[in-house]
Amino acid sequence: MKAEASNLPFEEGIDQLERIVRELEQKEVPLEQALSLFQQGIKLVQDCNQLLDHAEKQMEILLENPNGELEIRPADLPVEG
Amino acid sequence: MPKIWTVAELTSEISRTFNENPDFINCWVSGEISNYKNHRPSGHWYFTLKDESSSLKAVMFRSRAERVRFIPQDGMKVLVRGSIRIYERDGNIQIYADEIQPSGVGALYLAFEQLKQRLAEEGLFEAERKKPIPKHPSKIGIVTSPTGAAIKDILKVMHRRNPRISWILAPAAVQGEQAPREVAQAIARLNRYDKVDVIIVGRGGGSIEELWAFNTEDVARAIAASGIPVISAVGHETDVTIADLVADLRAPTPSAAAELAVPVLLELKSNLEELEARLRLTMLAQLQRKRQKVKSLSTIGPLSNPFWRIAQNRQRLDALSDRLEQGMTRFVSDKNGILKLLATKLDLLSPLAILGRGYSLTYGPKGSVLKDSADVNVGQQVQVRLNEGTLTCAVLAKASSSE
Repeated sequence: MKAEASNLPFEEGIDQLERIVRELEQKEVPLEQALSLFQQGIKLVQDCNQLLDHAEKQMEILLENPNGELEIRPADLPVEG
Repeated sequence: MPKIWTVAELTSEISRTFNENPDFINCWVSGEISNYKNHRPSGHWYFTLKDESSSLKAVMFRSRAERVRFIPQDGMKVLVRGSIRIYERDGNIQIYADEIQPSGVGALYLAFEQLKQRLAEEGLFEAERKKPIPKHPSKIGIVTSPTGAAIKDILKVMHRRNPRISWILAPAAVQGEQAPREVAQAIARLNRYDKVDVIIVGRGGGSIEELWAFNTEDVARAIAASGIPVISAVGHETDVTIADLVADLRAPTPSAAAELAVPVLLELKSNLEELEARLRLTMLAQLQRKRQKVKSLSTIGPLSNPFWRIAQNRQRLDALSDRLEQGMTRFVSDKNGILKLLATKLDLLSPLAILGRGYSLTYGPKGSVLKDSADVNVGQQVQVRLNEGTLTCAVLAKASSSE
């Protein structure tokens, strides 16, 4: 849900991008606004690509210690594939 | 002398006999339940087992009763496993039940049907309750055994679809007595962690006993309470558990759950490319339309000739200046007319014009017009001006007009 703190999660990025594309496809937008939407869209494409290409893969085990606190350990399961 | 027992001695002796008889220990009794009572707050069950001719009191302590997966009902035909003892205080024979099973239908099936009906009445299976599964999760939560077949299948499929997908396993026993609680706790733990977009809960195939945890109320309620969408993946395709009914999405197998949860990376990339292409195309179209509009505007109206206003003004200026010129001309010629008229009038007043009518002017010796005879002496010369020419005359005599 919360990906990188500074970045938009991929899902939201794609949603916004789809909204922008639909808006530009469906009606005529004043030039200034069209340019601004286009710029936002390109930025979202870049961000989403970034998320896909450079996502840091996390493989973890979620445990709970006796105090009831969450404990996260790296997974050392036999690797996938 | 016959032996005289006290009541306590006798019941104690009977009790001992019962306890020593191996047939009465761990035996099975079939009968019908009546007077069933779940005693609160102890949680012990009391009921009577009876058939056509006899009845037997039965008790099942809470520790045992908790393992029974259905709720006994009066009239239910059951098999009870337990030990026969005397309840010494009342002298009653009782069966202390360790296990109870409905005869006829399987106990598990009955329990399944009962729980299913109860949860259905609560609305836990309603379609409106189901949360949508996110299309683009960034992290997957998994609840299963770390050593089972399911986790291997899930990880394999996830890796194949997207080698970069992040996951976190909340380990839980998926069979045995601890399983329901552990699975429920693991689901709750992932909700506390709150950094996953979807949870896969499941295990590989097995007997109905082995899958049982996923037919328990604990697990059903944990799934229902999850704020994060849950995909259930229990056993094989044909096993539908209560967990499957409560889950937001049911996958037939753990592998299928991974397929449903994780989009293929290459597809994500091509979707993104497609969106980008659409964005660029539609932007071009927007610009094209605007260009077209400018062009069409330029062929009509003021924009087609940006100097039209100047030309118009120039034309107007010309017209105005023409009118001005005409006006001036008229004004000037009007003035000419007036001048001629005035000149005529002026002419009429001129003394010279009077001379034309036969009058004459007389100038005295000093050169001024003579108007009084007293201004001239006899013998002096005067000049008389006629219409044509002048006369030099001598004054011969004078007379005043009054004489």
